[in-house]
Amino acid sequence: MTGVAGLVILVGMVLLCIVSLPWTFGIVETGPDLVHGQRRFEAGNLSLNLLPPSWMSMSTDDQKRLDAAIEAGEFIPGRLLGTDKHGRDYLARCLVGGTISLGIGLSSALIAVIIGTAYGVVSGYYGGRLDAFLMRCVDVLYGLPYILLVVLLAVAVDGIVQRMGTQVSTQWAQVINVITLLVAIGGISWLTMSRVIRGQVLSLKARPYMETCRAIGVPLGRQFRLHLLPNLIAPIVVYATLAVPAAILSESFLSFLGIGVREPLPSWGNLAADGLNELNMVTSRWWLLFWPCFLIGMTLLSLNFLGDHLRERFDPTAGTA
Amino acid sequence: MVRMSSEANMDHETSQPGNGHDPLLVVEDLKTHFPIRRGFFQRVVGHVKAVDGVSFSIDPGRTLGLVGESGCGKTTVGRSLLKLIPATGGRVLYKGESVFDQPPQEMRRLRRQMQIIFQDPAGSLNPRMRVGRIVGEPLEVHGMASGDELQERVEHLLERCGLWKQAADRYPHEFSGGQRQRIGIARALALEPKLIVCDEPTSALDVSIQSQILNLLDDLQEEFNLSYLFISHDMAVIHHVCDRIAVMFNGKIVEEGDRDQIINDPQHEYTRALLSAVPDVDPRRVKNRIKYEGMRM
Repeated sequence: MTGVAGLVILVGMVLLCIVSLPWTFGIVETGPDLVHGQRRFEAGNLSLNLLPPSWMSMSTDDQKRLDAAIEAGEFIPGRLLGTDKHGRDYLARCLVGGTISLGIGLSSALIAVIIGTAYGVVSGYYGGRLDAFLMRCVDVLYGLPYILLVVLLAVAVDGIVQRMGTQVSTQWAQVINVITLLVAIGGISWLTMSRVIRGQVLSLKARPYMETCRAIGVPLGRQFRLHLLPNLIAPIVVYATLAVPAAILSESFLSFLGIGVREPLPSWGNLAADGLNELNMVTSRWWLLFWPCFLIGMTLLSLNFLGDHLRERFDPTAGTA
Repeated sequence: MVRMSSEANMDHETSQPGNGHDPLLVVEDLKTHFPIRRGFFQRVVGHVKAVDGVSFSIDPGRTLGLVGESGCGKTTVGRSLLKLIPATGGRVLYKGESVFDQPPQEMRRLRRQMQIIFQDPAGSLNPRMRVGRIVGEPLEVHGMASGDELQERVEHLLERCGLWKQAADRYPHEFSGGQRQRIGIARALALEPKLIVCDEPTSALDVSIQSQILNLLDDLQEEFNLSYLFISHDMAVIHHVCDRIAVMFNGKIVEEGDRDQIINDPQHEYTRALLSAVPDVDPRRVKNRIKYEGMRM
């Protein structure tokens, strides 16, 4: 039951982010003095910054600012979830941030699962010197601080982009930036996966039914497909459901440091980081912190529910026992 | 049962009982040593001589019992001769063909002739495959049956091994230990082998189930003219099923002979020690345990 709920929430969030893309990336008129329009998530009106959500009561000060802006015919951002410190629609930013965070989380987890499973299976199954060599490589990669790797990768890619100079538009630079981040996070998180899978393969290899496979003469491909992989589903699913939130959190952390997703592109991580700065003793604009954190939290929770459910689904001994 | 290929037919004819005394399987001076590796570079610092020069032969339709205490290498013998673990030396001849020197394609053909039943009935069945798939896999892999024929043969095998047709749709965990062992036997039989290595097939089962499984193996031997290499540490079981007995100790066979000769008139000191260690039903009877140098107990 919780598994279904998790799936519904997750799919709902992903769909909402994707379906709203034309709206969030849509051009809006930001005012008569601006030559060209801006995209909705980056269009702001500085005089209307830090407004509370439209369904909350507004202070007289904020009300005055809003009235003045309407009177002057300035650009009025959507205020359903309030506006940020640049006067941008926070709902649009949360949705775009979701696209980026979920995209990075899911695809880097996918990269980690694919590389990690393949690497671990090969290492565990063939054993011996190959195994020793492959695992020492993993150890070396483990030894390098991953922040350093990601920074180096980001800087290197940045350098390449800059050398290409004007050929690359800012939009493409942003896309390249996000893909770099995704590859970097995915490229680091398969290490744990490969170790987990290798251990599992080692223990599976020693089971009598794998020995029977050899006695029967089952081809290697079939052994992988029918005997190893189905028995690896549980750790793969568990790890994948942990890897997605981990990737989202690393992305947030890197964005917080300024290496990850950069302004004006939002991600849940840098939205939360910005929101944290707006918490103070005088006026707490809690919504700026709450929404991204709530969305990250819901994602992690639904992924965990989904993971639990999948693990049970794939285990024929569960349910009857 | 329906034979599929002409190759299988030929095999069948040459192995008819009574056409001479050619043994089905000859094992000559089989050695399996496991290297002990140490240190960073995994240098080999020594060997565990699990099997160290074992020779025996099995005639068609007969059972050879391999007894010995745990750790004496009897399981390793079974696995080495099926090439499940690489042997260090020696020869294994199946109907005169050397098992160790076969190219992969030929080896696949030989694998059809020799199957194995394991001790642990739970571990020897893939928990994520349905029983029908497990039993049918050998047939599928060797292209011996498919579709309806496959299903029919699987059902036949299950019924022959004392299960029921519907068992094919269930998962291994839904069966008891004895039933799982029957599934394992059905799978081993699927390829219609001539030799089955039974690696302690009853030691994980309770006594009443043990006798059922032993009787099943007996019936199957008669029906299909099977030869068994029966590995066990249980003297009673060995006595029940075997025609000949080989006693193993520390990787070597210390004595081999007919069943009754070994049981009633053991020649080697170790065999006597082993027989004297068989537990008695009556705890008050004082037995003269014979101790043998190097026995682990």
